[in-house]
Amino acid sequence: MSRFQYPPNTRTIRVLCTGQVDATYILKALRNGADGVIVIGCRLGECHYIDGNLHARWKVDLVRRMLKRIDISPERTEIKYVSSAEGNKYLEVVNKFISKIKSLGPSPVNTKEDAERLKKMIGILTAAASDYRIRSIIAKKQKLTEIGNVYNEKISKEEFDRFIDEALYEEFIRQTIVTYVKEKPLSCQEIAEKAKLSSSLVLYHITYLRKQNIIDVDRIEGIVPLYKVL
Amino acid sequence: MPEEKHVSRIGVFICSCGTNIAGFVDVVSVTEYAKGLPGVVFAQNNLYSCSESGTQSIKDAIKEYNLNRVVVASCTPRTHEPTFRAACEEAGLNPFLFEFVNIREHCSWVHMHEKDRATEKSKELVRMGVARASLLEPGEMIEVEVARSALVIGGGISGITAATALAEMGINVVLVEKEKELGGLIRALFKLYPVDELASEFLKKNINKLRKQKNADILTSSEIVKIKGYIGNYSVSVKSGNKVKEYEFGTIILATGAASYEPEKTTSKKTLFNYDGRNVITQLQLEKKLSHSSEVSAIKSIVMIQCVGSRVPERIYCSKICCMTAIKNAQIIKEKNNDARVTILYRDLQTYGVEYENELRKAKQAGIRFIRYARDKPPVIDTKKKTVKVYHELLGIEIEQTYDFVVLSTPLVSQPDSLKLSQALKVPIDEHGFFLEAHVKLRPLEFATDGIYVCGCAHWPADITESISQSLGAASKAAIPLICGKVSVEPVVSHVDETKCSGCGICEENCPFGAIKKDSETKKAKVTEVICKGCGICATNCPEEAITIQHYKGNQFAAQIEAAFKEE
Repeated sequence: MSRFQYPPNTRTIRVLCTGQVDATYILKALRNGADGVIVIGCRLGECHYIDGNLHARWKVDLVRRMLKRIDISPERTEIKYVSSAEGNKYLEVVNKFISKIKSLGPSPVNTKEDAERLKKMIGILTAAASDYRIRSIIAKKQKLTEIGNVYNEKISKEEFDRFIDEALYEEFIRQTIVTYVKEKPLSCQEIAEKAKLSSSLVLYHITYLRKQNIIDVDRIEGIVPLYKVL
Repeated sequence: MPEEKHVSRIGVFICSCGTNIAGFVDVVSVTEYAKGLPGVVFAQNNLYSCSESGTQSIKDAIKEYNLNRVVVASCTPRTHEPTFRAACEEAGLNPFLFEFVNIREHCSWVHMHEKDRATEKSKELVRMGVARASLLEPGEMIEVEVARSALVIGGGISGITAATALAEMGINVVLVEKEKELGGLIRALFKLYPVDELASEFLKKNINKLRKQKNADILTSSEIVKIKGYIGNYSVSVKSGNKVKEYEFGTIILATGAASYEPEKTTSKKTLFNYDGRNVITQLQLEKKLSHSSEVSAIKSIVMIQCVGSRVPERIYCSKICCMTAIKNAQIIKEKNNDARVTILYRDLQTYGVEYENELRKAKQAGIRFIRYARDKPPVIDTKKKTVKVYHELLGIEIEQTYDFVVLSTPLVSQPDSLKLSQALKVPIDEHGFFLEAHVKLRPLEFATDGIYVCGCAHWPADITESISQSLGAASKAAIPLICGKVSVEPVVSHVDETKCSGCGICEENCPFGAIKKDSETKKAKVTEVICKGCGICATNCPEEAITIQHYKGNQFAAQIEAAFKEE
């Protein structure tokens, strides 16, 4: 890298291609205390493995959407494209990122008061990012928006964004419910209070989760059912 | 691969790299730190790990301390990963149980003025490397036998050149050409630029050279019916007449060439420049006339129009060869009859390099007129009066000229069956139907799919010189696996946990290399390891998280991430 100097604030994890970067890795780094996570890959159209950096881009985009949902700045993660011959561009990218994170301040995960709650939130996001629904939507992005189906039908990028945002919204609620009842059986009302959501919304998703055999009634106290993870 | 429950015995070697690392990082302190890391039973500071003594000390330590994992913290794996892997192997340790931590390019060289923080960073990087090392698994190089023969599809100058080159290397080659004769587009030409050679003589020379090759099997009037397989192991069915024969090939060269665009001749709607094939003809049709000397002398006035059907919205590219073809043919006409009025209407002239620029100068000196026209003011042809009207860009006036013939320089277009062929071979074509190479600069003659190569006009309009160069290049590349006799790849490949796979096919959809497919019997994803590049696309997209990449597994990344931010 031509010995360009930059501050030693970074820790590097080597991947063969940014295509190897799973969304859950970025979330894990943030949960474990990273103030920022930057993914650096080949320039678009120049990926040595053809499409790896494109797929990485969609993973980073997913994580940014997720962070917005829990009030962590989405700017704490980004993807940048640098050719392996552009030493000074790499330096610029890293320095800019370090300054950006410095101005954002330490991650809220590292400040004592909110830490545990936020770590739990990131855990919920990780569960959503490991789940079939979100993964298959992101995996099909190229097919849906660029390649099209056998009838050559495509959906626009805006439609796709709405689609993934809606799915994220629902999956976040569902994973929140699962996370809370995993700790101990809770009623719909108790879950709604903890998650700061309306009871009717929570009930709607409890019904879905029951149908999927993910949670079910543990016992009934008086007239109130308590739910548990199956 | 089953995960071993083993007790790590990790050896860590911190390299000073002379002063490259030791000058900016306290390597002694890092070595002491490494001794205390989980699983580490031995840590040593070497002056130059890559030296004879350095690698020897690694081998000695492996034996003496019964190490089952080795971590070297030094430079970039791009320099010495093979060196250290070989050292491990020589000492009896599987080379994939070796982990490389970069504390030079990633640390000492970029934090030269902050020794304390650089040392702290080095310690953490080593900690991350050790955490990963304990989760590494042994691996074996994946080897595949290669069928020692090559297939060349297409018998034009590209195919002929490639097949001859391969045969001369002692490789068995089969050339498949769908026409009755070899030669492709050149068969329709009269003379070749810039050498002024007769096309028929040129072709005869090259075809004879190929026919003399004992290792070359030439199949004309033949077509590819089916292609299956992967590098080293292509099964191809070829139909000749009504017989179908099966072949096995190691590599394939695509040399299917291009076609010359002929405008439609419908009389109901306006055709391109009133093309009728009689007095308004294409350059290819002119070539046929030029071989008849009397016809040529009879031409009194001829107007050639360049960029007909190319560099327009429907076909934005420049076909490269048409300007030189027009200049060549214009000169032939002028030579036969100096009084003939020869005019070339152009938008821009492609006469690059010394030789072609020379030809342009000669043409102008011979009295051939070059008139520039704008795309939005094309020449207008009156077939009744036999005149051409054109707005002369540089003079700023409209001029009119009578003609015996109008010659349309049309572009080379892709073959009509290129889509079918691209699907059969699983190689991409661009929007114009030309085959798309792996990388325009770094890998111009190959595809992302290993074992298939492309040359000549099948790839992009090319003149004969370029086609020949590309064919020789493609033949060289195609010969490499055949001469080696086998192809071996690092075992950094995908692995599918069939108990988790739901058969959704998303991995197959997303793989750029065609390396993972849904098996027709088991209905689960199956990896063809020799093609897999380990890029990770299938693994990170799999909705069931059923796929892992050997040597770059999720648990290894997790260990590194945890080690990076551990509170001490």
